[in-house]
This record gives sequence, structure tokens and C-alpha cells, in this order.
Amino acid sequence: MKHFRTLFAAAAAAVLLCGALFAGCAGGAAGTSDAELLVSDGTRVVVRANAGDGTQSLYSVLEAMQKENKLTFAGSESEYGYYITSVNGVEATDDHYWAVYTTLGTLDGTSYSDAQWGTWEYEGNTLASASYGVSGLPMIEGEYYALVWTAIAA
Amino acid sequence: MKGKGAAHAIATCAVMTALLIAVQYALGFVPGVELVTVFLLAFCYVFGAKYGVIVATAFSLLRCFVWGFYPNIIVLYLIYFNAFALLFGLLGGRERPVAVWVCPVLLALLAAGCMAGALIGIPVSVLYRARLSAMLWALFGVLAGLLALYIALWAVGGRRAGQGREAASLAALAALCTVCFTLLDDVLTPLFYGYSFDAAVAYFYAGFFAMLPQTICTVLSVLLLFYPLRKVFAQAAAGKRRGERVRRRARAARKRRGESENASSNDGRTQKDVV
Repeated sequence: MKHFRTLFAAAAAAVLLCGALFAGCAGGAAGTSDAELLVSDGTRVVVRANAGDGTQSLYSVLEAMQKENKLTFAGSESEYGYYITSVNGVEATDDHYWAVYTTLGTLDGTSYSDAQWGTWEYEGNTLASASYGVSGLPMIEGEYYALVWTAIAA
Repeated sequence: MKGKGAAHAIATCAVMTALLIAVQYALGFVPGVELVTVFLLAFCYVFGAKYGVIVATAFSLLRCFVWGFYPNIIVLYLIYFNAFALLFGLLGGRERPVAVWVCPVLLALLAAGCMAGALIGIPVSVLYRARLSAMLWALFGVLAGLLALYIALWAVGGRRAGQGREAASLAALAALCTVCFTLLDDVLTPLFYGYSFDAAVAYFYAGFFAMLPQTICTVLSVLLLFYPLRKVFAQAAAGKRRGERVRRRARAARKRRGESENASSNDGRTQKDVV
């Protein structure tokens, strides 16, 4: 019984330690970015970063735009980040989903998009399918970011 | 598994499969938390590899009715959980503790991997690096703590400490299995969907976000829940063995009385004759 109490105390301490570490790192980034909403309708949302030091995510920019009533979006948190399921009232279905595209390629050895999964054109710019969700894409000056209503390939 | 034994085996495996699906469903909405590992581990440890493999296969297939049919996931589950059931079923069947060196070696290797990952830095999105680093250090802390606990229990000695060491060894093995699950997925999913090399590498790094909390959860849950669950399953298994023992005794008693296996009817004919 004594050893079980020791085990329990050790496990509880480990849970608290892990929780504290995760909580400390889960807060939103405090960086800055200046983003412009270029298009927002039922099939696409296009954002361009006019300034950005890479510490703020596309998610936080979209959230700020939602607060200003420029667009609406919804989704769910997962281990891999925020997953968008609805934009401007248009919900993902069995046939269509909201794909994330960006012109941001490789930065500091990390690839943020892959054209193998598809590309999307916007005013002469080719955006590739993003390797991360909206919460994993950093806002970098001059880059385009898009949410596109996309058919699921059979 | 014949006669009543087969019925009991089917019922046991069915209940365990349902329990695993329920446990996975109940905690499916909490990212990084799962108790399927400790439940299946304790079950296999008590009931053996044969029952474990049946449950692992049934669970891998039937869970699809809840979570959907994805061929790569079905293959992943069938390979992983059957290997898991074999490993812990055979370990439980040995009826002697895991070798003393297994736990420290596994924990040292896993902890070194975590520390290396945290120090070198894993090339994920710049927005995730701090969180991933914290996760790696947290897992390192848990593994190092488990190693210290194991050494302390080893120094104390005694039966209770022996049980604690066994739980620590199984927690280390389960942690290794959880890491292997993610690595197997990192191979199977890119192969199945035909990922490019870059996409496969990105998938591998993204997998850390699922693997690290799950590994921490596995270590803590096995450490805390293995013995209570083992006790419950052992009681269920003892019920099974008691039933077999009663049937065996009844058969032996009938033999001693000179009765045949097929009981006689009132007119002296056996059931076989009647049929």
C-alpha cells in the first residue's frame, strides 16, 4: 500500500508537471502581423500578410477578422492544430471540405506547403496545398493564404 | 476451446472487445489521452496471448463501426495490436518478472531520444516548436522519474517493491510500443496514400504531437492502473478456472463411480442410445 501511495504521488506530480509545461506553451503567440482580407465569400477566403514576423498564426488573424465581422469560421481543435469545418456559414460535407492553400514554401528548414496535394491560382499567384492547418501557418510578409471550398477527389 | 470453454472464451473476448471500444470512444474526445493500452495490456497479461490476439483482432475490426473504415488504419491496428497482444500475452504467460535490465535500458534509450529531440530541435512549424520542445522535456521528465522510481524500488527490495518494479517495466515496454505505433503509422500511411518524400517527412514530424502526450499517458496509466486491472481480470480468469476445475472434478467423480461420460437414462440406456 505504501508503494502504491508512492507510485500515485509520483504519477500525480508528473501529471501536474506536464500540465504546467503544456499550459505554459499553449498560449497564443504575442507577435505582430498586418493582414489584409482580399476576398471573403462562400467558396473562398484570401488573406495577404502585409507585415509579419512569423510569430502569429493564420488562425489568430482569422479570429481577429471574425471579431471585426469581416468573416465567420468554425472548426475544432485536434492534436495537429485547429481544423476548419465551416467558413462564412458554408459547412464541410462528405463531398467538399475547406482546403488551406498558401504561397509560403520552405522557411528555416520547414516546408509549409506541398504542390503535390494541389495548387490554386489567385490573381497570378500559385498557392500550394498547406502542410499545416490554420493554427500552424505563420504570417510572413508578402505571402498569400487562402481557404478554398474544395471537392474531395474520388 | 470446446464446449462450455469455447462459450466462455467467446463471452470473455466479446466483453473485453466491447470494453476496449467503449474506453476508446469515451476518451476519444480528449486529445492525447487513451486507456486502451493499459486495458489490453492487463487483459493479455492475465488471459494470455491467444485470448489477447482474438480481442486485438476483433477490436481492430469492430471499432471501425464507430470511427469509420480507413484501410490504412485497419492494417495499422491489426498489425500493432496483434503484436502487442502477443508480446504481453507471452510475458504474462512466463509467470516470472521481466528481466531487471529491460526497464532501465528502455527508459534510458527513450529518455535519450527525447532529450536529443528537444536539444537538436525538430523541424516543425515555427509556431509549434516551443510546444513540441515542452512535450519532449515533459516526456523526458516522466521517463527519468520512472527510471529513478525503478532504481529506488530495486534498492528497497521486497515483494511490494517487486510489484512496483514489474509495473515500471511494463510501463517502459508499453511506452516503447506506443512509440512503435506512431512509427508504424509513419510508414504505412505515406505508403498507402503515395506521399512524396517531403510529405512523408512532414507527416512524421506532425506525428510527434500525437505520440508524445499518448506516451506520457501510457506510462502513467500503466504505472497506476496495471495492478488494479490485473486484479480484476485475474478474478474473472479465476472464475473461468474454477468452472473448469469443478467440471474436471465432476468428470473424475463420475469415472470413479464407474459411470460413463454419457449419463444413463432411467431405463438403462445412455443418451447416445436414445439419439
